[in-house]
Amino acid sequence: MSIHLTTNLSENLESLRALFAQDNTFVARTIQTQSGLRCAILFFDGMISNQAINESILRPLMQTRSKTLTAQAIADAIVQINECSLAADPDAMLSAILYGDTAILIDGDSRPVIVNTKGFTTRSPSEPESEKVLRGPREGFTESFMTNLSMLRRRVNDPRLTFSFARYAGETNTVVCVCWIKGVTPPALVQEMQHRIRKMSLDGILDSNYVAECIRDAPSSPFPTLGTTERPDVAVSRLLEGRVVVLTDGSPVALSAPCILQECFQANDDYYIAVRQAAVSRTLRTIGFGLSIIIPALYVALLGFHQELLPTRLLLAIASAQKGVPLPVFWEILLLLLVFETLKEAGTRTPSVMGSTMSIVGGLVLGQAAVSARFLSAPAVIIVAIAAVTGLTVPKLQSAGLVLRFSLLAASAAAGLYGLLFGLCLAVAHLCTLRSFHCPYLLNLIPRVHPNLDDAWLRAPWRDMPRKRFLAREEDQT
Amino acid sequence: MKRIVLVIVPLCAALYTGGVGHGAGDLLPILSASISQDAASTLQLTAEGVRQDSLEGNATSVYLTATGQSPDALLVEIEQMLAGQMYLSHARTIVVDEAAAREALVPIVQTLLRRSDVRLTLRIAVARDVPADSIVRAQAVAEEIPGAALGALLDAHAKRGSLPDLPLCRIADRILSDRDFSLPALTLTPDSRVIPAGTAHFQAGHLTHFSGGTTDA
Repeated sequence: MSIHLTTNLSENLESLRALFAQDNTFVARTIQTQSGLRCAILFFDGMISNQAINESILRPLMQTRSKTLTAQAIADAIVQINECSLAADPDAMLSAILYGDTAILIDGDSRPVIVNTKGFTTRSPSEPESEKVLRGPREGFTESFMTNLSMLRRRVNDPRLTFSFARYAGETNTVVCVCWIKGVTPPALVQEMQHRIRKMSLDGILDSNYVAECIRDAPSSPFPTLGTTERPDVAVSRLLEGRVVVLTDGSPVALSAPCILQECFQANDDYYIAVRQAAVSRTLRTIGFGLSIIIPALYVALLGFHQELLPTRLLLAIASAQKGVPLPVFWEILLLLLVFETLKEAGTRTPSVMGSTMSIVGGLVLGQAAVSARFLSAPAVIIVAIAAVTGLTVPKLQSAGLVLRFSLLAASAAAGLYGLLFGLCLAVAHLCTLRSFHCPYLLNLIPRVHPNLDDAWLRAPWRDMPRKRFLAREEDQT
Repeated sequence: MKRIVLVIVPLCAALYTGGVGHGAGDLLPILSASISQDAASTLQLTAEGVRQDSLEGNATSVYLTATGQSPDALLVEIEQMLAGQMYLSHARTIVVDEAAAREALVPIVQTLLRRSDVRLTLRIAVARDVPADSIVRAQAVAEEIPGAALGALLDAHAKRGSLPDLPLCRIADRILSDRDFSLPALTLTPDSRVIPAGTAHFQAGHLTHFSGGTTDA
């Protein structure tokens, strides 16, 4: 899509109307100044603020008496809007009007004036559903790019906060913004991020996940190697830690890099509530994740291979519950886990009105009926319920938890506790090999040369953690 | 392709193994057993298995009896009676009568040590003046499972020091090093309750005499 602009307004309008002949939202309004000079304003209906165009463009233009108007003069002295400039080329003009700006063309000058009149409807900031907090800021990113940037700027009142735009030249022409704080974020990290974004090859970007999948390390790993958040306060905290944040136009999800395992166990609440309470919460989350991946596998291993490790009374109780159940323990657990995951998937997209009905029917009625009919044993239902509930404690590791849960289950079904331990060793080995933007994934969790343990397993009180920069060491900062 | 094979092969192995493995319902845990020997040197084993029919119900004991010329033959015969596996991992006590203690303790210990499911913490006691199986079958005071009550009784007395604390591993050690050792002796009260009855002394793996308790042999 390209045009050539001349000094003849009629020709320019003709070529633009031909270009958007099929588009009924394209508006090309021709006006005449009091001195008789012909101008045209070009915009897309629904994308602009009518008030801004009427009061700040049309009125001053129509009232002007100057007979020798140039594009530069319109931008400098007539248009009464804060953001107004000359477009570098016709493509830039097209790109601007497609994004809600208004272009002014005048007879006798081929240079278009671009005026910021964006006025499309956006969602107002609200608390993200997936990152709710008990205490603390409740503002969340929206689909509006500039609003998101303003939320960051409002929190980091420092000129070193840098926003670097890259308009991704696919069909959607989406803007991707790399944000960092100069002097805090290592320059090499910023360059690496910009390099990876430049290398993307997609025909369009509709959400930040499009970017994430293109730039992340170890794309086949179930562990997230790129952080995500919908909260500006979290994005800012990551900037302060020396990371790079990437915002994508049209997406309320900000990406951050590097991402390390430690941050998956951190919750926003950890920093807004008392330190002891945060320590308990984080410990419970860590234990919960461990339980969620190990418990089903451990149950199968103990009952299938190592019954001697169970206390006699527990063994008797489980044996009595399993009497009459036609399936082996492994299949019981596997089927129950699959049913749970299916219910969870169905619940995610079910309207909230039907959600409670579905959870009652799916969880309670189905589970109770299966146990009563001796199709499944009660301990198996309990084990899967524990795994399911504890699995929700660390939302960022849900997909990793799912993969690990099933893998360890298969390993323990094949070789009991030996299989389970082997599977866990493989998982740890995989974690050791992972890197996110050249940063070890297990940074601070295993002994290293420069560990920063202030906010690793547990967080230190804020008075002992004045600088939360465990990614960027002092010598790295410029 | 290589990655797919790496996933498919362990998955198939897991599905196969998970399908054919034993479940807890297939097992009959043995909590206690008695071994006695008659005049013709025939051994008799009485094993107390435990089962529970429902989660709400109580555990009940099942007694299995087998006879044979050797301890190995006894276990083989018991396993032939069961559709499931006889499982000695939860066995806490084996009671032998005086004749078996005099003649057959060493082969009994050797048989037990050969089995992978027997715990080395298993205790062996000697029935004094009463048949060994009557000790195993005696009603428990506080427990509904006699075998569990018997194990708890021996553990408690061993902890207090009123009976010898000699689990299977130590008995094996004493026999292998040809040293004397003592085992707890048990008997029954007139109302058929199990009580300690002193100590049974062994020399070269054979019962020599009793000490303490009601009567000295």
